[in-house]
Amino acid sequence: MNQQPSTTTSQTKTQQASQPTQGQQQQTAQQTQPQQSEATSLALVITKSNMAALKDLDQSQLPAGFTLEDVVEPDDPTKNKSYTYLQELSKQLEAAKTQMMGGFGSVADSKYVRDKWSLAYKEFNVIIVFTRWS
Amino acid sequence: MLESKLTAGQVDPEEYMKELESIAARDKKLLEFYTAKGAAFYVNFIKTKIDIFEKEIAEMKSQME
Repeated sequence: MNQQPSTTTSQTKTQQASQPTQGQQQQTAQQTQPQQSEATSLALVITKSNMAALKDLDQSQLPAGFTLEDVVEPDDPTKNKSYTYLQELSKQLEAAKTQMMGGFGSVADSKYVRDKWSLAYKEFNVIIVFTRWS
Repeated sequence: MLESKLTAGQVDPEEYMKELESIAARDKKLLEFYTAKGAAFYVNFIKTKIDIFEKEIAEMKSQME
């Protein structure tokens, strides 16, 4: 199991990958890049906008044993008590929150990410207690 | 809740690992579903999540041996 957990971690490779390159010929493309791509580059962060892809689902379409919530929000921190997952999710949610508060994404997405980050951070701390205890 | 289980002393590493394996198995079913639906972001998400879980499971197994 992972040891020495830290709540003040550096950015992940995924987050770094979302940073714009410095090549001059890409500057124009960066300026016209849709805002949504900034948020969706964070692989573990599902936003309200992402959920739109599954908005038309009904119960009959769901896989056996899954609720609509299971399918639409597989990133729920309270249902994913993995130390490593919660660590990564917390980092990515924090990055997403910063992006959204900086003007990217919608108000609904910002609130959603903020609320989920709070849950993830809470669960993450519980897992830290668990790893030290074991 | 994990927290209440901790207080009651009901959580151990083997139980924790089984929970990880259970979640990973469910996520593989979700991967099939998202792929069939063509939900590209969800496919990317669930693949990343499965990788994280499987990596942690492998690390735990190696430490238990």
